[in-house]
Amino acid sequence: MIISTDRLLARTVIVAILIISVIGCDRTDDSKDKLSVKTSIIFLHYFTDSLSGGINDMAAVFNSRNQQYDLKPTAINHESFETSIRYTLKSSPPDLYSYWAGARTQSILEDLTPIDRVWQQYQLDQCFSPVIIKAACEYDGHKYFVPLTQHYIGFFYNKKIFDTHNITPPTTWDEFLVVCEQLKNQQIIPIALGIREKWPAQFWFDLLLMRTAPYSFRSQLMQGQVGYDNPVVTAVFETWAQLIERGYFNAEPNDLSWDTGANELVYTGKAAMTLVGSWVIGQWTDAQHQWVAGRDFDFFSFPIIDPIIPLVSTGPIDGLVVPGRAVNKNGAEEVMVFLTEAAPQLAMSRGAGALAPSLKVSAQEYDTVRQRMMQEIMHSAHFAFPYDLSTPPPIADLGINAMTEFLEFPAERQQIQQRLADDVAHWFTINPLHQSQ
Amino acid sequence: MIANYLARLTFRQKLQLSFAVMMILISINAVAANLIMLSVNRQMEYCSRIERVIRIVNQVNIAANHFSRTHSREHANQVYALLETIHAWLKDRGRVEFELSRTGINSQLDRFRVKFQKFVIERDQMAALENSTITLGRNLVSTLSTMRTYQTGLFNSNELTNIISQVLNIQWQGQEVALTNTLPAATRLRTIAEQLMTDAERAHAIPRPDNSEQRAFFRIMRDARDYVSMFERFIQQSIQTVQTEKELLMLSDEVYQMSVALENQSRQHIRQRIFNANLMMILMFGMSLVAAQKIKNFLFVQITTPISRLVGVTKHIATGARSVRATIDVKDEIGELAQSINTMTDSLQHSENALLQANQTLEQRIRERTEELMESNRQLAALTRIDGLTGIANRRHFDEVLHREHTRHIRSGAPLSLILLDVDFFKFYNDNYGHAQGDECLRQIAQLLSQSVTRTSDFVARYGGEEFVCILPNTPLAGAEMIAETIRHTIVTAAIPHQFSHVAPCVTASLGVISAYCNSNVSAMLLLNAVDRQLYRAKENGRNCMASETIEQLSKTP
Repeated sequence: MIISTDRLLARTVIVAILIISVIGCDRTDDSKDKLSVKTSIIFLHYFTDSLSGGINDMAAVFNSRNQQYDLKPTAINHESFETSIRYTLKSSPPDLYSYWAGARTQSILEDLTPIDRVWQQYQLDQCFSPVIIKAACEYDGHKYFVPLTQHYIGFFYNKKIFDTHNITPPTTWDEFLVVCEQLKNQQIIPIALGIREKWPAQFWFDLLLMRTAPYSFRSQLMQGQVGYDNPVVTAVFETWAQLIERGYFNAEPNDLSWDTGANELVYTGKAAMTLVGSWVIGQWTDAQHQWVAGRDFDFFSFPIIDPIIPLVSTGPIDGLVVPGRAVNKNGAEEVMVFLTEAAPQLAMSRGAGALAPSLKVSAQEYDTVRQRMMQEIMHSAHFAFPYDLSTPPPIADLGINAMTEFLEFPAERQQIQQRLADDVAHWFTINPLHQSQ
Repeated sequence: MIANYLARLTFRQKLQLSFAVMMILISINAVAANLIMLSVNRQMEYCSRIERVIRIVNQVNIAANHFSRTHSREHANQVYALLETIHAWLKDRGRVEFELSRTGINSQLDRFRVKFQKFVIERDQMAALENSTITLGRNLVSTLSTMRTYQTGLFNSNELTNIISQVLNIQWQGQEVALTNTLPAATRLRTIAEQLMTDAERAHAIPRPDNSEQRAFFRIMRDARDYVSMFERFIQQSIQTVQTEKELLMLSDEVYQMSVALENQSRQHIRQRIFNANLMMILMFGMSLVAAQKIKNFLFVQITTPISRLVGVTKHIATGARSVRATIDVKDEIGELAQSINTMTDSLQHSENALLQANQTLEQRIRERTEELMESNRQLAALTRIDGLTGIANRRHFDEVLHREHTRHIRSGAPLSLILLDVDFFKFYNDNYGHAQGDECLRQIAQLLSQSVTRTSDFVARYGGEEFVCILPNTPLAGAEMIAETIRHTIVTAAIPHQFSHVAPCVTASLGVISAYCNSNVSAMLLLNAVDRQLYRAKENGRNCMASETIEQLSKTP
């Protein structure tokens, strides 16, 4: 017993020494340095200035929930984005681009990565309505595009002015003209238009065309199957010129920005309304303006000119594409899939003033203005992408340039239209592949 | 208190305690050594981490420099990945992060990351603006080329075209290094473009019969405005980007310097720690030696010294010393042993004392017994010389005394006389009065004889039967005849009745007397024969008388 106590003591001491020795051993083993390092996903987008609402919120939602990737959004000025993407796609693209669904995406398809695999894997078919998938996501039978926002283009008006002058939003062209006349008589600019950035001019041309010509005609025009010298196009310019000549637009639209110019005219009450996309909601409801949708402003859809023509709604769908040369395609796809979830979609739609394309976002989440916007889209026979997103970009440039020239020289519209028609025809001759059957 | 405690411990407990203390010391040494190793290891590890940080920082700097030159996405991603790595890596390792944040590297790295991200973004934006500028510049050039026909003299479109082409060329030729070259050209371009715009606007404002010319001016103005505004943005962006790049380089340099400083510091720490560790080890070793010495002393004092002292004491005791005692202070087994030895010595001493005493008593007794025995012997010897009936010397004693006296008288030459006495008609007495009366008669005769011979040197004995004899040393015949006569007279006077005597009515005795000058020719036997003859003569002479003779005559006679 005594011996065993001593032995026990000795053994304990020896074991203790051994344990301490083991602890003391050099443990600088770096083999277990496998760390969960977040991979950066570079995301170039065009949501800048007054369009910047939502994108950083969405990225924040993503980064707070995803442990694997770090989404790094970089804003590229809206005007330079288009040229930028064409350059960087071929050299060193980011992992993700924001882009517009439609012809724009179609035009860079060869430099994009199809996302069929993740689309299949995550069953994104259940995420978006078939209409949107067909129009925005699928190109040449493959999935390329994940929608983030769906905008709607319509008349956004100062509700206070309408209420003050007891004006109800017009539904027909005649009513519209009456409203304009009434406002003009009240020394209020009926329609604010700022096209310093050129592209806002297109909505007038586009919606006049959609309300006066069948949807199919527009498609043909966009794809070069119909020339710009077509009488329908002439009629569009005529109708537009009428409004100009009647003085319903503000002076010098070419010198006025769409956001800091036209939108501000409406906001300050100098003008009553403006034809613009729903992104104006983002601008007017931001911290600087603090308007409330439905209280301070509202919208109405472009009035019906020819009742026979089925109603067409229009607006861009912004979304994500993965460049073919992206460094981290898998990560980019993961990000894409994650951004179809309700939370990021909603964050984006709130900041951007848009609708969330994902079906996971309930309509209950929207304010009344956006709920009505959704109704309008649902009641329309078609949802069309805006002019510059429906036709090849060079044609869009030509068209928009012509529109700006038209707005400066409405009287010269015939020459301008003819020149446009010639240029477009010439382009389609040179680039026959873009001319669909 | 500790000393008390130690003193109370047993031998085994002391050994156990010493063992335990040694074990604890060894353990402490081992633990300390390990802790030191651990500390050094930690520091090494820490240093290697810092080295890794520095490596990564270097890689970041290299990649960032690459990106600055190439603007390649891969390099940007590499920087991001490296920064992410360093970030996650630091987050994973508290102490390094603490140290790094203490030295400010961490926040500097964070600033670097933010700055780099800004740089990449600005670089992307700049690239985009550059591309747009180029595109718009081309547009403007193509617009202007259609305007050759509209020479108004208001401005020199050729010069403008040249300048634009020049800028475009610069832009195209060296996208990476374009900035410094572009900026001066751009400044010139802007002045001219502004002039162009002013002129075009003026031309545009002049009413003309041909609107197409005005429209052309509008287009020039429009495209020039687009171009200039884009170019302005590009220049601003470029300036901003260059600024950011400078800041980025500064930051990276700072981070590098800081990390190198930190590395030096941590290397210094390691050296310091190793030095401390050595010092500590030596100290621990020294302490262990001292402790071992202490334990040795303790064991020595507690065990070895008491034992050797005890051995010395036992040796003393073994050689016979009994007064020595072991003085052992310890209370352990050795103490107990010492005490036992002391007790044992005590009892040994006690026993020895007791034995000695017993021995002395025994000797005394033996002495006493011997004396008693000698006395008894003496008494026994006396008893053997005395006649049992009469209480006077017997025949044997008489022979001895006669022999002794005869010898002595031969030496001295003095006359020796003998008287032999026989009771007359004792046969008749005995037969008539009985033996008991006879014995009584004899006892009375003996007593009378003893009373009659009063000189101390004289000797009376029963010669046998009813015969008695007297030895009268140094006595001539006359003295002997007188004594014989006294004896005869005394007996007669005693008047012991004897009716059957023929001489007298009482007991009488016949006496022979001789006196002789002894020499070698006159033996004791001769003396006895002579006296016996005198007695016979007395008998012859009628009893109750004496007959005497001097032996001198005898000797003269053959």
